[in-house]
Order: sequence, then structure tokens, then C-alpha cells
Amino acid sequence: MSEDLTISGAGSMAIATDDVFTIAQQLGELCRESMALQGQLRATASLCTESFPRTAGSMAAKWADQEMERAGLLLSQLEWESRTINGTLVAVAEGYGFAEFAAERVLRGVAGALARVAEDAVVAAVIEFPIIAVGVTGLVVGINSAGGMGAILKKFPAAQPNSPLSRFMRQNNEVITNPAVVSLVRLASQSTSGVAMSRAGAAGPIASRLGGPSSFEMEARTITASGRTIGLFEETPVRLESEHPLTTGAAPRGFADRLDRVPDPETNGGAQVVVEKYSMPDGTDRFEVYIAGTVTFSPASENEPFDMTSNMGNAAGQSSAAVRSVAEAMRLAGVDANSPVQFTGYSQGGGTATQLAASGDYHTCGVLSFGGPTGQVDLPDGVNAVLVEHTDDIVPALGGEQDNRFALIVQRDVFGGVDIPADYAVPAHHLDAYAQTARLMDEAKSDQVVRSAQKMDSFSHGATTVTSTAYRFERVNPAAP
Amino acid sequence: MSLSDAATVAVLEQQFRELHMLLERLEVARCHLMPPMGAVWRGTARQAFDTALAAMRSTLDASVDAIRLARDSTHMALREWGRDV
Repeated sequence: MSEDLTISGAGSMAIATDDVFTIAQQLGELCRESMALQGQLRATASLCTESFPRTAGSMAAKWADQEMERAGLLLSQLEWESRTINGTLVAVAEGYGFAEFAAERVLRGVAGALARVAEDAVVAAVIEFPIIAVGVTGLVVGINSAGGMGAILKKFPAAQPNSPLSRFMRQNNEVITNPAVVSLVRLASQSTSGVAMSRAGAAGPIASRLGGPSSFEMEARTITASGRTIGLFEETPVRLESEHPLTTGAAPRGFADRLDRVPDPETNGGAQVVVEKYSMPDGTDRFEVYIAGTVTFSPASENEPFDMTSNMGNAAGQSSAAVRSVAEAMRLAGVDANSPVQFTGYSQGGGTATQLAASGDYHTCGVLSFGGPTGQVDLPDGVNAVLVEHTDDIVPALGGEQDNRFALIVQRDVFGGVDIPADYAVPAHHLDAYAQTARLMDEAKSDQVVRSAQKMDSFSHGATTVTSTAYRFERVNPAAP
Repeated sequence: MSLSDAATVAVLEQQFRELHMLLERLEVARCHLMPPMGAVWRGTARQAFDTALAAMRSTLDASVDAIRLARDSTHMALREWGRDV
């Protein structure tokens, strides 16, 4: 397994591994130290000059003088060498980042054009061959008369976890765990979304900045609307099913500790949200919110709010059941618009965390997302955001290109150069893989990672009491039978 | 020892102490700030990077040697004045 972390973002164009950034920092420090030592050596050498008239007869004193002069020249050379190598490293990292940015822009344009051509072909086919439109309409009517797609999926054995199809997906997971495929999916997610907005005659990012939906959101809304015609992605209200206090010793320290506090609904009775409350010495309260990932991948809404419908709702920038569940948990915990809050989420939880941070409804100080589809969620620049994505994980790629340039982006190719286990359909998305990345982040030495961790940890520093509550939510009146 | 000799010895003692401190700082820098070889990249880029690092390490080693020699020579000079530190 690869243990290299690739660091980018944080307001810089540079992309490099944690090792490269750490070496650049070491060289920068060595350069400063050699300058400081030169200054000190000059001061020491002036003592020699001062005593020289009295020590002129001493060979040893003369040698000392000569060696100090030589040391001065060598330290000057050391300063130049460390500065040059450091400069080269930084230039390479920035050049790589710029090249990647430029290539990404070109690919987005090409893929967007291809997507528009494909869409034109589909429209032309429907106009030329009305039988296609009739067939699609008949299919929709048929699905709905059978109780919707949700009911059909329940009866379809291939959709079950132990079906031959599921086994096939696990045994052939190397395709979707290939970083090249993941990049293509990311590009495709981004490019097809450009079609909807170009039809509307507006540029996505501009629309987003003006408060309207981005092209990515428009596309997700189109898919959701299409799904609803056959009983999928039906949104519902949510209600609190249960809440219970958790025992917790102290506020979290580091990335791995935070990920460890994200609830696992399969093992904790279904709780999807945990809110920790820190009472500060000045009498104020601060909160950290931990959000679980997708619990069920069924596209038909049942009881579980952390489902595919919420994934689509998050992508569409709409108020998904998951977002509403977390917002309600925060309200119950005492979070208001002025309460300082930090979010940590895994998978859908990461997407939900960024949606809440981007909503502007909260005083968000930090966001930590592991494997969340966050690329097209427009995070405020001032938030300490750390977005962790595996380059062989298809899930964050479904969120489109990562456009949050002020967030710290940490990437890792989990299965680079090793065999991919057949235990899971998407092994690079598994929580264990992200837990390992979080541990590597805690050990990382680059300034970017260390600073972000310190900022997150300082959030609850000095808390006098820490309380923790787990919340479980359910959908109300699910559409599926 | 004359007054003038005492002043010379005081200056040499200060020079010795400062050189010793400089040497310690430079050795700490060599230990903690010198990047490891072969840590990044592959192929030709790695070779070029490692060559540059090797040259820098050699400069750093030579700096350490020069300051050590200056310190030891100062020590010898002090002994010529009948003082040991």
C-alpha cells in the first residue's frame, strides 16, 4: 500500500507529496540557519581581529583566523545551495500544480463538448424516431404500475448484497479502483453537468457565485427529477428516532481521532450523527459534529435518511434528508447561528458536512471530509477545510473536479502497486483505508498539514467539560412501500 | 600574567566559547535539517536531486570541519598562553 500523501490547495498552486514539502521546509530552515551562523561567525571573527596584534606571534591563533574565514565562505555556499535546491523544489511543485490545473481545464472543455454532441445525438434520435420516446414513456408507466423502481429493485435478486452481481463487482473491483478510471469518472461527472448549464446559457461557477445552482447541481437535479418519474430519489421529511449520550474523555486530537468519532450506524444502533459540546472557560459553548456515511445505497427512499436520495440531494445542492437530520441534531444539541462549529464526515457525511458549512447558516470554523463528494460544493474561503480523497476511490470523483482551491486537499493512492483485495466492491473507499490515511496525516510533517491539524485541535483547547450525544433519524412517510 | 596577556586570554576564551556554540548549532542543523537521500522522485530526477543534496552535505561537512579546526586552534592558542578550557 502506498503511504505517500499528496498535498495541494491551501491557496497555493503547488502539488507535491508530504515528503517533498517537508524537505522544502527543511531546506528553507537550513538556509536561514546558515545565514544566522554567518552573522555569528563574523562577530566571532571580529574578536580575532581585535586580539590579533597581541596574538600575531601565535601560529595557532593564525590558523583559527584562517579556518574562520574558510567557514564563512563555506556557510555562504551552504546558504546558496540550500536556497537553490529549495527554490527548485518549490518551482517543480508549483509547475506541476499549474500544469495539472491547465490540463484539467483543457480536458473539461473537450469532455464538455463531447457531452453536448452526445446530447444532441440523443435529442435528434428522439425527434427522428418517435418510437424511442413512446418506448421510454411506456417503460415509465410500466415501472410505476409495478409500484415504482424501488419495489422492482427489492424483487430483483441481483440488487441483493450476496447476489452473483455483487460478488462479480467485488471480484472485479480493480476497474473502478484504477486511478485513471476514477479521473475519467471525475471528468465525466464534471463535463456532463456542463451541458445543462450551457443549455441555460450561463456559466456554472458564475451562477453559483450569484446564488443560483451550479451546472453540476443542475445536472444532479435533472437526474433526480428523472428518477422521480419512476419512484426513485423521493425526498421526505425526517424525524428524530432516538438520542443517547456517549461517554467521552476529552476533545479530539488529530485527524485519526476525529475520524474515529464518526458514528458507524451498523454498530451503534443506527445513530448517524454525533455532536460533541465543549464548554469553554469564558462560558461559551463550541461544537464538533461527526457525520456518518451512506447507510443504504438503494435509490428508493425507505426509512434511512442517509441513502442515495440524500447523496443526490447533496449533489443537487438541495436540502437532503441527511442535511436536515444533521441540522436538527445540531439544533437539539444547542447549536445556533453564532456557535463556533467544526464538522467531520466520512463519505456522504463529508458531502453533508460541506453542504452545511457552505450554507452560511452556521459559524463554521473547520471542515474535515474523508472520501466525500465535495468538489463542487462552494466552501467559504475562511473555513479551515481539509478534504481527504483517495485517487483510486470513485466516490469523491462523483462530486466532480475539486474546485475548493483554498481548502487543503490531501490525496493518497491506496492500492498503488499492490493487489486489490476482493472483500469490497470499492475497497479504496472503505473506512479502514481512510483511517490509515488519517494516521499518516497525523504523522505528516509538512507545514500545510501540521498547521491545519493545529487549527482544528486549538478549536476546543481549554474546554472545561466535554459532552457527546448520538442521534438517529428516520425518514417520515417513505415513498417506497 | 600581564594585564595585556589577561585581556588576550579573555578574548581567546570568548572566541573559543562562541566557536564551540557555533559548532554545536551547525551539528544540530546537520542532524535535523539535512534532507535524506533517495526520499523523493524516481529515475533521473532522483539522481539529479540526490547529487545536489550530496554536494550540499559535503559543503555542510566542510563547514563543520572548518569551525571545529578554528575552535581547536583557538584552544591551542590558549594553551600557548598557559590556559586550558
